[in-house]
Amino acid sequence: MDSEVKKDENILIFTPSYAHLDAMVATSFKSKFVDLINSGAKQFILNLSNVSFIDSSGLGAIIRTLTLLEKNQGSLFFCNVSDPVLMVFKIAHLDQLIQILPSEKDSIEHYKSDKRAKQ
Amino acid sequence: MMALTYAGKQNLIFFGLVAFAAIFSVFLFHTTNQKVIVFKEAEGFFNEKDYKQAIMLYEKSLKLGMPINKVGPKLAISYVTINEMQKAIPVYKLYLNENPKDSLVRLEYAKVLTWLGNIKEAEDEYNQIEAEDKK
Repeated sequence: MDSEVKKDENILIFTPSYAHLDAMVATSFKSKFVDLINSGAKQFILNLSNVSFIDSSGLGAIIRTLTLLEKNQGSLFFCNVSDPVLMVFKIAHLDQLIQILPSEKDSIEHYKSDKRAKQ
Repeated sequence: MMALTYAGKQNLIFFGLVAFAAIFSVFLFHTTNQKVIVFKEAEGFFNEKDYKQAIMLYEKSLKLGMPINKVGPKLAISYVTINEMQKAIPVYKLYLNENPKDSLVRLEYAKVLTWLGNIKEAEDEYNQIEAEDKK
């Protein structure tokens, strides 16, 4: 199964296909995200429904992605985060820096309500 | 009983050794194969969020000789996820013994020690992370 990228208006939703975000896939994860950011998109949702485990390489790739997004004034919501991954986010205090929402639908709704509020 | 000639004895030893090597190879293949099968089953349960089954099979794969490098972090975080922190401790110790530079797993270990109230040990781990970061 390939990782999926889909679009809902201006929001890019990236769903990695791999079960483990680790050293094996961290580079391809990061380069995929760099491509998406370079395509000009600003609003992202990272759907981690298939990811059940993350190690230091995966965490590093996420942090580098967040840094790049920050530089490009982009934003990112995480959704469908499994318990072990959430545990690692909490342990690394990453949960205080990122926005985690229960589902893809909630994340889209969050972006859209933000947009409505700004209008 | 018929007495064996010198050549006969040599043949017997030779075939005995061949038979032993063959049986040992089958045993080795079976064990190696089994640990991989058990590990893959554990991964399946882990991915399906059935952490109790995953733990049982990760432990079994370790006993069958699966390296701690492959099993450790997932086994430990499974214990943490189902709130059996105490059982995660020996797994973290074993893994970090072989992977002393894995700062994320050491951070997990330090947090678990903190949650369990082992503040002094946790402090030692945090200091080690800091020392490793400065390198």
